[in-house]
Amino acid sequence: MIPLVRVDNRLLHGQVLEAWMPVLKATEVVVADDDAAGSPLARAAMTLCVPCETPARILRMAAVDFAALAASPAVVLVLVRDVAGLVEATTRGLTPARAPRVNLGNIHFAMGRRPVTPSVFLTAEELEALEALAAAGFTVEAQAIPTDPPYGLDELKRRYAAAR
Amino acid sequence: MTIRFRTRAHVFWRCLFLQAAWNRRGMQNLGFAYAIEPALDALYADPARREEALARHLGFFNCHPYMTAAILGGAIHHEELVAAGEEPGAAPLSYKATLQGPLAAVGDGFFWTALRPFFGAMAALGALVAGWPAVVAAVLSYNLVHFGLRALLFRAGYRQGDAVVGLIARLALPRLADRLRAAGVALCGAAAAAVALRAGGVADGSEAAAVLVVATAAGAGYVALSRGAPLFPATYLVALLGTIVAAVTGWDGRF
Repeated sequence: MIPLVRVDNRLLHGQVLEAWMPVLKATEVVVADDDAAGSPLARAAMTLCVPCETPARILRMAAVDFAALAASPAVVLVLVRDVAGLVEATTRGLTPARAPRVNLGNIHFAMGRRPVTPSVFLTAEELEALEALAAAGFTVEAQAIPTDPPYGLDELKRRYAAAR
Repeated sequence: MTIRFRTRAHVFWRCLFLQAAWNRRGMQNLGFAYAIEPALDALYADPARREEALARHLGFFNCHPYMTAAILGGAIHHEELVAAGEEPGAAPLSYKATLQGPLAAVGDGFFWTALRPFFGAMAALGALVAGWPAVVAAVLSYNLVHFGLRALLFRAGYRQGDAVVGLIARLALPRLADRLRAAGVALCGAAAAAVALRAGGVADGSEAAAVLVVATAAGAGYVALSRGAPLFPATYLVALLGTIVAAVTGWDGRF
C-alpha cells in the first residue's frame, strides 16, 4: 500500500526518516525522481542516510509501478521533488484509489512563489494543479511533520490569496 | 587555481556561524554564502564573476551544521573547477542540493540523537561523582569529537568532492549512533543510581531489597520497550504506578 505521497524539494532527509516513517509505519521508501535516479552522487548519498533495514529505491518516474506498489503488502512512502513531479506521477499510474493522501512537505521559496505554510511556497499554476488533483479525488494537505497541524487545500488557497 | 590553506581555514571558521542569519525563505543560505565568500574572493578576480558566484550561493540551503563542513569543502572543490572553466556554474549548486538532505539526516541521527545525549549523560554522572570539572571535561570531549569530524569532513570534501560520500559511508555513523545511544542509556541508569545513593534513599541494611526492586523494574521496562511498548506512555504508567504504591502503603521513598 501507499499511505502517503510526499512532495519535498529535499526528497529524503531527517523529517522524512525520523518523523514520517515511524508514524506511517512505513517499511519502504521509493524516491520517484529522474534527476536523483540519474545521479550516482544522489543515489549514494540517499542510500547512506536510510537505515539498513529499510529498503530505499531511487527510480526514474517512468520506472515506478504505482499499481504494484499499491497492491504490495509493504507500506511504501513515495517521495517526489515538486508539484510538477506529482502531476507527472498521475500521468504514470498514480490514482486516488492507489494512494489517496498527498502531502506537501517542503517546497522552497523562489521568486514568484508565495508562502502558504512556513515550509511551502507555491505558484498560482501549482495551486491550480493541486486543485485539479483534489477534484480527481486526492486528499491534498500541507504538513511538514506529523506533529504540525495539517492544512487542507481550501486553507492553502485562502493563505495564498492573503500572501504577497 | 587552488585555494590556499589560510583561506580554507577562514571558510572553516566562518562555517561556525552558519545559522546566525537563519531565515524561513533561505534557511542557512546567508550563512553558507558568508562562509564560502573568502574562497570565492580568492577564485574570482573579476568583480562581475565574483558577484555572480556569491549570488548563486544565496539560494536555499539547509543541512546539519556540522555535516555542512563536508558540503562547504565540496562546494569549494567544485568552485575551483568552475573558475578553471572545467565545470558549469550549476555544478556546485547541484552538489549542495543533492547532499544537504541526506547529510542532514545522518547528522541529526548521529550528533543530535546520539553523541550529544551520550556526553550529556556522561556530564550528569561525572558531576555527581566528581563534581563540576567532569562537566567541563564532558563538554571538551564532545567538542573534540565534533571539531575533529568537522575538520575531517571539510578536508575530505575539499580534496575528494563527490567521493566524500564514500568516506562518510565508511565512518558508519548510524551504527556508531546505535551504540552511543545504548551507552548513553546505561550512563543515565548509573546517574540515577548515584542520585539515589547520594540522597540517602537507601537505608542501611536494606540494600539487597533496593537492588532487587530496581533490577526488577529495569528488567520489566527493558522487556516492555524491546517488545515495542511506546516510550512516553510506558514512562507515565510507571510513574503513576509508583505514586499509587507510595500513596497506598505510605512508603516514603526509602528502602
